[in-house]
Amino acid sequence: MTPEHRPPRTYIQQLIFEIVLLTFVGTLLVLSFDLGSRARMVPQLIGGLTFVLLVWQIATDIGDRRDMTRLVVERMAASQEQSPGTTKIPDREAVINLLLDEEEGPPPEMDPEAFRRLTMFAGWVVAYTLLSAVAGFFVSVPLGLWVILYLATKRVLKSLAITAGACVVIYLIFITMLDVQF
Amino acid sequence: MIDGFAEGFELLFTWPGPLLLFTAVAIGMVVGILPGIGGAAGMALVLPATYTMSGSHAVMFLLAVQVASGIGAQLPTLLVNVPGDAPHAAALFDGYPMTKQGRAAEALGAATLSSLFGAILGTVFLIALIPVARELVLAFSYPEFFMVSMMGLAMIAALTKGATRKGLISAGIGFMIAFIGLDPATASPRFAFGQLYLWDGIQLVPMIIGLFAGSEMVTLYSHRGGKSIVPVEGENRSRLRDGYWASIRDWKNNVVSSVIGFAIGIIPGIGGTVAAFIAYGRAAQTSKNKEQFGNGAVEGLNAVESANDADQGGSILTTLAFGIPGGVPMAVLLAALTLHGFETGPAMMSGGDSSILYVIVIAILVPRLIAGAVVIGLAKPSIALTRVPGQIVAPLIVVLASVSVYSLRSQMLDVVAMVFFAFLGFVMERFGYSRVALVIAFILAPITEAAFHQTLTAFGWTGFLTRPISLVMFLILLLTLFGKPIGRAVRRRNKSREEQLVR
Repeated sequence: MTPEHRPPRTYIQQLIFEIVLLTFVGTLLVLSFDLGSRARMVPQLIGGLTFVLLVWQIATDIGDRRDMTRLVVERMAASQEQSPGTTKIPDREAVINLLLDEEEGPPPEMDPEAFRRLTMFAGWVVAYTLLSAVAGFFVSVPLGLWVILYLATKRVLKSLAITAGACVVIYLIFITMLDVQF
Repeated sequence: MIDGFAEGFELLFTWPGPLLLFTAVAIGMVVGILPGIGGAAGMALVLPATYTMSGSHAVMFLLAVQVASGIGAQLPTLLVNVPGDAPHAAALFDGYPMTKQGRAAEALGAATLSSLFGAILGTVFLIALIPVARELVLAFSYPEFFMVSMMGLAMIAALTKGATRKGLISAGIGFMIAFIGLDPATASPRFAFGQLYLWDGIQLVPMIIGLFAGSEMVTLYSHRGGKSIVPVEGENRSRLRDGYWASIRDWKNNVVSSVIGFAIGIIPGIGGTVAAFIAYGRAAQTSKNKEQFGNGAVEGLNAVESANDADQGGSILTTLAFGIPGGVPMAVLLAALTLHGFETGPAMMSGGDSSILYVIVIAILVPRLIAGAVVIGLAKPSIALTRVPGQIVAPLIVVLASVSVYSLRSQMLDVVAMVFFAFLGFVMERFGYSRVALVIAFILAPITEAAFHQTLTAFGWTGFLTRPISLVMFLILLLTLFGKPIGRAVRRRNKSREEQLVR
């Protein structure tokens, strides 16, 4: 598949997300057959409807994408016929994203910098949660906060000061006042 | 009645009444500001401290903690998209967009006044309906519970216009997640995958915090980079006074939402969260500015706040009339009442010691005024939080939210669930799936399923429509869903008839 024929990433991502949802609902539906008749009645009713709606949504997304591809190809052909050789051929993904936006579809893709920050923050959240589970909040809160604040500010003292302040507030509220056992 | 109120006020101003009141408000506000903790946990926390107090002081102290926590919860909900407690989740939909538009002061003003409005109406209804409380509460049974939950679900259609299929899928997913845990009909584990943690089901607070606050923090950190929640040029575009006026102008919405909140509060086990969602859905459906809902409609915020606070009057009515707690906060209140020798239920209703009723009314209203004044006083410094760069505020909120969620049940898996829902919320928002529909369905699923089975067992298939109140509710439900299309069709038909007659 050449780059110009590659579908936009948001479209593929949405399809993957919908397939994950379909798998989740499908799994629960299959498992529900092991339950008693009363326990499975409502889950099967709601799950069945959701499953059908998801299949319909996926089919619509694929159909919309086909229609859009046809429309884009027609527009490109028309613009070339009107002034051959002079008109700049529109970027195919941009046109599709434009059409998707018009149709209240998925938002355009993130810029690389935002994507980098997203991955960094998501990674930090996962690491912080794992550290909390393994070593407890006494370790994860100061360490996790300092690391992410240092990465954000690039200033050791500022990040240390904010971390210390946050730790004192959390200690006073949760341990001194609410008597939470960490 | 006047004597009762005079006694109540005397108690309030008798030492150590004022000290207890201000202490309770301070504790309640701190508990309310913490993500997801809420008044019930605050009340449970201070319950042992009330053992040495007089009965009336103890009740006032506990209610003041709960009331103040509800007011304190407005701050994180409106300013940083972190629900202070579950009933405030519906306030996120319009409150936070208002903040992002630089209208944080207006949002705080409107929320404070609407919440006071709801509380006043709730207590008026409480006093007025005490004599008929038993008949009123007994009029509601399983078919009515089922209809109330169906009315809540019908709001999903109103809230997801333009993307109804995706809205319904989101609701379906919410239902399926809610089915995880013990089955209400047989109490056997369902979809638990052999995990003991899942026997209790997925908890509401980690889910709401993750879906809304978590995903917003991911967006704030990644999209806006070093920028804050409110762009500098968008600051101070509103004042608290704008919010008060917005709430006063919207008095009809406040009254209807308060009635909804109170009516739902009467029904045991449904609670303020459902009341807030139903009131929000009704406001969205009937407003002239439907397209504004979800994008900073002050009517949405007013509806949620007034319903949320009027609900308290209804749940106290059930607690006092039957001795059946309408929710967790009322269970703690009931424990305190019993500990201090107050008789609730039929004994109180049939001429027992009703002086406590006036103490309760005062304890609902006076702390609210104090806490409201504190929120207004704190408005300026707390709005400053929205100007802190996202790269600093997002990690701080994630840490605070995780510690708060852990402190609810000391379960690390609740924190893991919160993180999971944060990513789910981010992806859902990105692909146009409704997080609101998912949460509404998740909250209503257990009530709907339990009421469905109970109705079938107690009344059979016809039970849904043979009781007068449930039948009326069913008709309202039909009108909600099909009223507008039918109206349009009738108008079209009349118009074509007129045209034929003209010809």
